[in-house]
Amino acid sequence: MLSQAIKPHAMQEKGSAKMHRFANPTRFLGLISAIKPWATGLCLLTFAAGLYFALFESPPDYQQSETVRIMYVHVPAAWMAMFCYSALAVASASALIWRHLVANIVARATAPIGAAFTLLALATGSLWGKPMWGTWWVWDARLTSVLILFFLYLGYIVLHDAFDDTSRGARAASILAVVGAINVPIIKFSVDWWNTLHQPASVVKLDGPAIHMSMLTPLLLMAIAYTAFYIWILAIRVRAEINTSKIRALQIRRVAISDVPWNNS
Amino acid sequence: MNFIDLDGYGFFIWSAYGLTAFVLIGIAAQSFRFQARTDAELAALQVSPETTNVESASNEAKE
Repeated sequence: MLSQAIKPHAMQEKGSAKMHRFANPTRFLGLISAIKPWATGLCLLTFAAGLYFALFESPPDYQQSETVRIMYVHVPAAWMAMFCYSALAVASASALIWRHLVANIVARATAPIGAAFTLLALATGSLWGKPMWGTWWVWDARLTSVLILFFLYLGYIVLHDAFDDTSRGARAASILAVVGAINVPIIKFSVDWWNTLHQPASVVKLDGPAIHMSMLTPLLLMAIAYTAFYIWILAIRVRAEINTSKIRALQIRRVAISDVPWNNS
Repeated sequence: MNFIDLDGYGFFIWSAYGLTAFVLIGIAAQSFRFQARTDAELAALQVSPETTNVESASNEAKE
């Protein structure tokens, strides 16, 4: 890990498989930095369009009235909470199995973004629940499993930094992320398996979305905006995380040099 | 229909949008600062030669 951080190209084996090409931090940073301006532009454009459709163009719902507008920020946040956790779990599994530095960096960079989306899903859901269900919170299977998702994100972040030895922290956090992945299908199917107050899926269904185009448009625009936002912020955090591991490697090297007795004048 | 009042649900709707803006701008701002801080720290470490004092290099980085 140390030599990889200092001399990224040194680890590159001649003729290595193409899929391992981006396991190199510098190459991966190059790739994600190239995507970043496109993600930023797409995010800002779709956010502007999405907000316009969400607040001006779309009609009030016949049952939910104006509160349906909360769905345009709630549903994409909940989708991204699940998407980011899936990314976190896959990256963590890759970090455990292949010990790829990049996988660990992607996982670490994803966790706070996913936690933010989960917090938004919970909070905006609560703000919809109060006027529509008459309660801010209910311990049904969907809401409880999403709350657990939020704690899994927090657990991952805390565990990662809980050890003096960073690789032990990374390993412990990765194991938590992989084990916690069982929660993702539980969240998805909670509304079908149990009798929840939360309604079942109305967009991601086998027989197609059950909502009108006027409401699907802002929802999908916001979903694209949230996804682009994730990639944009991921690019920034990946760079910062790669910086951090380079800084750590350089500092360790310096301490090692200064610890040599004859060098300590 | 009043755009602020939104049929009486204005408080809930605007709170949801306000909170979304707050959290997303918050995580973005924190990420920008994280990158700027580590960029500066790394630059400080890479500029000073290997033999310089460790203390001065890490102090520079903290600034």
